[in-house]
Amino acid sequence: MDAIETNELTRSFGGRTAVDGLTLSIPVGSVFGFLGPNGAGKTTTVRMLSALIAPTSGTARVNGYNIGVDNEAIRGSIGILTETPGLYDRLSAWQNLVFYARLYDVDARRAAAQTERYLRDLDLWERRNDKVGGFSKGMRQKLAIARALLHEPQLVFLDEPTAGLDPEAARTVLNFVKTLRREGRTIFLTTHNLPEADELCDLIGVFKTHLLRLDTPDHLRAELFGRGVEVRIAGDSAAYLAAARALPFVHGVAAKNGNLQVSLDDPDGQSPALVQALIAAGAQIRSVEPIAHSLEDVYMELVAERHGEVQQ
Amino acid sequence: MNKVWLVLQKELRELLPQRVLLLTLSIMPLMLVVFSGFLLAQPSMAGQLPSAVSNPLMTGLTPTQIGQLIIAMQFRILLLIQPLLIPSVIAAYSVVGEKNNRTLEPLLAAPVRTWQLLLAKSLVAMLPAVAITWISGAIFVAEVALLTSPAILSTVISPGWLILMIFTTPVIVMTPIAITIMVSSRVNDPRTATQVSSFLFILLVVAFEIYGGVLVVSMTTALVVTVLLALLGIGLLWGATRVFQREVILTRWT
Repeated sequence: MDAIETNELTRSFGGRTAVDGLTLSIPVGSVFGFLGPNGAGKTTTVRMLSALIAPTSGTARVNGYNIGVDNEAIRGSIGILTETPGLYDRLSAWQNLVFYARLYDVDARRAAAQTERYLRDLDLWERRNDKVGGFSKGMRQKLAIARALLHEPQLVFLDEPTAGLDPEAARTVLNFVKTLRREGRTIFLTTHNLPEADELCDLIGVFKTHLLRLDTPDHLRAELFGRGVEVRIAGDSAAYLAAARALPFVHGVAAKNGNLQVSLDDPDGQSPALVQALIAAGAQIRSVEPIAHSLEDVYMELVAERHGEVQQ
Repeated sequence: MNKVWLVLQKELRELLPQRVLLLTLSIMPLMLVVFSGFLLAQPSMAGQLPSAVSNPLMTGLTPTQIGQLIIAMQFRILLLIQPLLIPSVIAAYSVVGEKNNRTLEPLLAAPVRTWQLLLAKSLVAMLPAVAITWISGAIFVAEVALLTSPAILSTVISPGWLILMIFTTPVIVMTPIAITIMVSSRVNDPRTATQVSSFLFILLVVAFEIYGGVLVVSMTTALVVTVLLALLGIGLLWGATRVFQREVILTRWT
């Protein structure tokens, strides 16, 4: 079952199209990373999926409810961390959370229990009676995340949860998101922090007005850069190019920085035969490692590709 | 109604600690009663007011009493219309302030209906205005009772005026609140919203002055006016819920 299904979801503002024909499915329990440059339409998408704004065309189902039809049910069934924490500065942490818990139809007793639970989980319990106006950015962000979870939604939208946080606060938030993942919740994560997305996400959507690619991080890496290994060889690596090319399973080979970079379909299965062939050709091999491409490489490749299309 | 109460409680928790704001809002009504008390307590000053007033209400009164009556009649009207100025500041803060403080999006993302949100925000704007007006009205009644004669007291604090003070005050403030909310939904600069009720106030002052500030309001007239203003206020508040669109609020002011 999918937590989110969209079909040709489009939103225009005047003559400008912010989201163009977005079609995707996000399975229940997965962490979906929604990546894209500023102004790509990510926040507009989140607002449509959280029933805050209506699409110009297209359809979407969120937690089984249709946007535009069951808006209040959608709003009640999801948790959302908006771009800015949006907390009431004059109220205490406790008052902020209890207010929202009650607004999400959590009864008074459970609202108090849930508030205590999340304030403790996020190390804010000692500051529960302090006005939020005096909180640091990291504390506000943690409080806003707690607010999104008080009613225990199974689908949570997190818009830039670690943006602007110091490394320690960012790590706390990240660990908390991992906890949510372990609990089996579906997470729709919008972020510019690509290492963070790489660490958390099962599924990645690269978006710039329309969806450029939707896949798992590993598949995206394989699709864009292929798989392969980097072989460190003593001496001149270029001397062994021919030996590597002669192998039928090698798709490509290049000498780079004194090493051989070899493209393979199945690095784990084919590396032993490659090593044997290179040794037979007289190479002294120091190490063999898979070629690692970060999600940032994937993102830059896709966004740059799209940028090129636009320029053309 | 539960969510209306929740939002109202939240609004009051935010508003009540703002002593300076509340004090500022109370200054005009307080000035009115202080000034009226000062004038009523100065018979010599009151006596210098126009004595050639041909109004049946003033038959048999001394020049000093005529002066006091004119002063009291003027102030009793100002007291009735001054609540127009109070709620727009709070309503504008309550709606526009949420947007400026970026607290509106999480609130709109919650399962709360527009009418619930707006009713709560209207009530929080209405309650201080009504409270301040009633308190200043009570002080004014005490001043008139203490500083003038029983004849003037019964003329100024008539049953019609009492009905207007007690029942019309809550309904008269609905109009600026509804208009403030409507304007808030439609303008890019939220400060514009607060100007509307100032304009209404000035219009009403001018209207009363045209009638010489000595209107006599019977109980029937007061009740009819109250009902009409209530209908107008309810209609405008309903209109405000139609105009206040989450989407417009979220996308226009970003």
